[in-house]
This record gives sequence, C-alpha cells and structure tokens, in this order.
Amino acid sequence: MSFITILFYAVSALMIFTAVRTVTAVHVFRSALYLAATLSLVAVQYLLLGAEFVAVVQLLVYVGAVIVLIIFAVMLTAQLGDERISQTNRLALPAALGCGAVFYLMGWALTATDWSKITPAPADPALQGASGNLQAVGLSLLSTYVYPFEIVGLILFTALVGAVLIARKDLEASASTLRPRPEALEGPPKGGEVPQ
Amino acid sequence: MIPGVTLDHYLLLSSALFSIGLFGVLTRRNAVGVLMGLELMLNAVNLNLVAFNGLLHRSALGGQMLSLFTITIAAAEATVGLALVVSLFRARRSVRVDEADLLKG
Repeated sequence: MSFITILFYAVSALMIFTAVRTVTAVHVFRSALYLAATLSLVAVQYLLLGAEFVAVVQLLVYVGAVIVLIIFAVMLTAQLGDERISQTNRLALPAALGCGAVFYLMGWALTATDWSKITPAPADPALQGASGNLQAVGLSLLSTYVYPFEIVGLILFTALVGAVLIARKDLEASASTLRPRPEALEGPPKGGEVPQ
Repeated sequence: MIPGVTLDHYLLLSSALFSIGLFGVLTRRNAVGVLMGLELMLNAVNLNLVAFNGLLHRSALGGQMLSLFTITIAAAEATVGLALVVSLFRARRSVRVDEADLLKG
C-alpha cells in the first residue's frame, strides 16, 4: 500500500468517527466542533480526488462560515448548552435500524452497478489550455457555467435578506420610527394610532 | 488517482456519511442538531459528485461545478434555517423541534 492509499483509509476512518460523534455528542457545542472536523476531512477527500477548487470552497464556506453560524445559534439559544436536557428523542434504536437498512440498500445497489458502462460526459473546453484544476474551474465558472453562477449569487442574496428579516428582533420595530413605542403612550395602546 | 481505491470505496464512504446524517436528523431533538445532520447529508452528496467527476470522467468538470453550486445553496439554507431557529427561540424560549407546534390546529 502506498502512502496516499493509507491516507485515504485513515481520513475515511476519522471522518466516520467524527460524523458519528457529531450526531451522538451530548453537548451541542462539542457536536458543532466535531462537525467542523468532519467537514475539514471531507475537504481532504476533495484534495485526494484532485478537486482543489472545491476543497478550498469547502473550507471557506463550510468550516469558515456555516460552522460560525451554527456556533452563533448555539450561543444565542441558551438552552442548547444545558447538558441536563436530553438532546435526543426516544427514536434512537428504530432510527439506527432504519439508517442501517438505508446504508445496506445503498451499498448493495451501488456495488451491483457497473459504473464503467456510463457514457462519458463531454470534455469541458475550459480544461484545454488551463494549467491545473483551480484555473480550469475558475475559467469554466465564468464561461460555460456563467448563468448558473449569477443565478446562485442572486439566490444567496435573497436568502441573506430573508434571514435578516426572519431573525430581526421584532417586526414591529421597523414601524416604531413612524409611531411612538407602546410604553411611551399613556394607558393601553389603541390599535397603533398616532396620538396627537 | 489513488492506487487501490476505486469509485466504490468513495460511494460506500459517502453513503455511510449520508446514513449517519440521516440518523442525526431523525434522533436530534433540537433544531440546530437537525441542521447539523442535514449538513452531513449534503456533504455526502457533494462527495459523491466529486468522486464521480474525479474517478469516472476526468475530462469533465460537471460534478465539481454541481457540488460548488450545492455548497452555495447549502450555505443559504443554513443561514435561513439558523435564522428560523433564533426566531423560534425568541417566540417559544425553546428550540425543540417536537415543541414547535404553533401551526397545529
């Protein structure tokens, strides 16, 4: 066995271990850290597969941004850090059996399939003349896949605006610049009228 | 190319990751844990796509492109999902998915 083969098996074993700890850890914060480890190991697998661009994006977006968001949510919701509250429901045994069945079925189906019979995809024009994966993916993003690239940017922008709108403290606060706060009124507020 | 490692190894690895993520989604009680299981499942799919690209069709880039777009959409999904978690916590002082029954008649 060469070094890179041993590396593949070591990374895979570590990945399965951290993934199992992600879904079974008692403390949610620890679970988030195990998730960060799993996502970094997936990036290592991308490197082994020769997809450097995807590996870098994986590290930037997942380990850099999504994990920070998850830890933010854990810190904002105080109840999550409490170890005395059970973090799992009573479905652990049926869920484990079901997931084992799903894994068995998928493993059987994909080892029984002869993947070499698939007709090969057309060669990407960006791969000609590009020196390495990073340049090829970068060129392809702005030539062959430019429309999906722009649309995905629009989707991301829309999602960010929606997230800000959902997570805002209260939707009434935006109108408070136009009308006085309820506690400033004398007596109970009457249907949002502006008092003179 | 890794000597001794075929496409089946990667597909089995990613289906194991998918099953573990599914287990997390089914058993976690808080919404953040469910989201973490979901991220694991999405990563399993991405690993699948990149493995098909890298081991079956080396002259194409479709698998890597699709996984890049999936990563972007997953980031958007995580943003909106966690905003919903924070909003749910403000409304109910709880992020348990089994206690979020505001829409139940």
